[in-house]
Amino acid sequence: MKPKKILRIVITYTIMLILALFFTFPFIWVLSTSFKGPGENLFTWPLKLIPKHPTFENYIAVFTKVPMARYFLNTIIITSLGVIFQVVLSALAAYPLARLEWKGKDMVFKFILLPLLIPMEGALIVNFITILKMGLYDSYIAVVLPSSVSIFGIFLMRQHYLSVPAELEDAARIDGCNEFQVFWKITFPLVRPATAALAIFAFTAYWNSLLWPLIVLRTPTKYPIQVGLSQLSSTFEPNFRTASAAMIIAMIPILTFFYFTQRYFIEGYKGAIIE
Amino acid sequence: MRTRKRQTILIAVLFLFVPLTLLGIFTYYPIIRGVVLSFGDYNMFTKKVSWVGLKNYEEIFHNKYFYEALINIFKYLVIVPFIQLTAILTAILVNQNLPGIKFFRTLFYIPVITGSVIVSMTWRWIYNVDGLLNNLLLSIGIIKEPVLWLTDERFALYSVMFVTFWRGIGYYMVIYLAGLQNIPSELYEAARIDGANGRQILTRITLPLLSPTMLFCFTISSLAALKVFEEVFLMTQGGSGTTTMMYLIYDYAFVRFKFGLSTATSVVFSGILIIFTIINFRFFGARGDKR
Repeated sequence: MKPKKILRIVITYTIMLILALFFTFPFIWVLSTSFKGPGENLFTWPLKLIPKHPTFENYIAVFTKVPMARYFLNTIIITSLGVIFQVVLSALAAYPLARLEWKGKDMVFKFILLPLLIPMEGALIVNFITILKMGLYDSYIAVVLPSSVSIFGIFLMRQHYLSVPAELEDAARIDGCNEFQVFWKITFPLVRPATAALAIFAFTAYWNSLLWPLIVLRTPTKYPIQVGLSQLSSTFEPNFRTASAAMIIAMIPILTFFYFTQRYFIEGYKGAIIE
Repeated sequence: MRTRKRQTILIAVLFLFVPLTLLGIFTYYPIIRGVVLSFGDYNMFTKKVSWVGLKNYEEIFHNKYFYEALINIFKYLVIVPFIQLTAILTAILVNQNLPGIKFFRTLFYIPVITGSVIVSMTWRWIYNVDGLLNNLLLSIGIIKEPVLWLTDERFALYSVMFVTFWRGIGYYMVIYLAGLQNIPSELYEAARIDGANGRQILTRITLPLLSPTMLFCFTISSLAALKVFEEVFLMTQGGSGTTTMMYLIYDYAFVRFKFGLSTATSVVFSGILIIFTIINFRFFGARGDKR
């Protein structure tokens, strides 16, 4: 039994190491490139991953030549706005759909889910025209507004509201809570973990969003990091070193974020799959 | 009791008003408006629509890129089973309680979480004439001269597809991980007491109980494959035979500013997606619904 188990663990780790290499080798190469000076050939073969003379000059170049700090700030503004909108609006909309009795409830819920069955890929164009007409073109709010209501979010929150036992609410009503207090003091606190999962999904989606911000933003100083990088790739294409440093800087926050929140990712999907 | 009733209605209206209004403007209106616009030509400067009847549809059906895109998105579906199989196996692998497992999960998720821009830039370098891939294959002797992975029509689409595959595994791995953790551990214990071996546990417990998750993942993964855009946009700009429907829609609208053609394409594409979804449900729906 014992040696068999050890063998299994050895095999598991071996496979995981191979997979780890498979999923990270491009980034390892980028990381190594970002520390190489102009004197070193990047494409030598066999590969030299450890720079002969490690240097920080690429990182300094990024911050002096590219408005990296500005991109970060923009990303943070857009992401925060998006997360707040999605979480608040989903948490609000899902409550009457899950816990209150009123006429037309099922119809409204089905209506909300309808777009999942009728995909409209042209929404992009119509929304662009709408944003122009609203005078919101080239503003942060334009980036988040069209996606501020997440159907997935409403669905997820509704699932969690449904799991709250009715006895708790009834007890609160008997104790004299009005309907607002029932929501705010009893039901909502119980689903708060679900809002964390939703916030995390929204965070990664907005942090990495590319096409829509690219369409509705014109001023480069308003670009979030992804759009900024995509523009950088055309201007900095020949300069792998600087671009590599920029990519590494862009990766660090989101990777750290995932490392500490992966539990919520898994929890969030658990809630979504049950249905 | 009357006040309760009134409060309930008030909450329902207050809580739903803003979300429904926003959905109305940015989700429902575009469905209708998109169809209407597909029969017209929108002038960005005068903000006027001139009606052209079915001209947009005629034009897109006479465009060879439309057919190229159509063929490409169905070719793209090929990666779905590969992504899903790899993701399931990886999920089973990292669903063990071992030291450092959280770190490995993070490593496997890096391609997902870094976003399409960084991933595509990196792979463009790997696919470069003097990039890693050519160097590697030349040194092993598989190829005699460098291959133009992203500009040669014979390889470009497959090169892009590989990146989608590579980038998709981690995403579905996490969903399968959630599915695996939903399986009650008592089932495994009971099976072990009954003397089931590892393979029996996998085929009799894990895989059957994972099938709702698999259905979910196959569905969203194939829709994502049909709608592929970012990798194409960032790596080939739709060139060398890699155009897709979403790229075509984007290209018509935001490169050539032909909104009518773009919405007409998207109406046709939405129709294709709806048909695809219905077929999908006919085949798998009955089984998935029961669970």
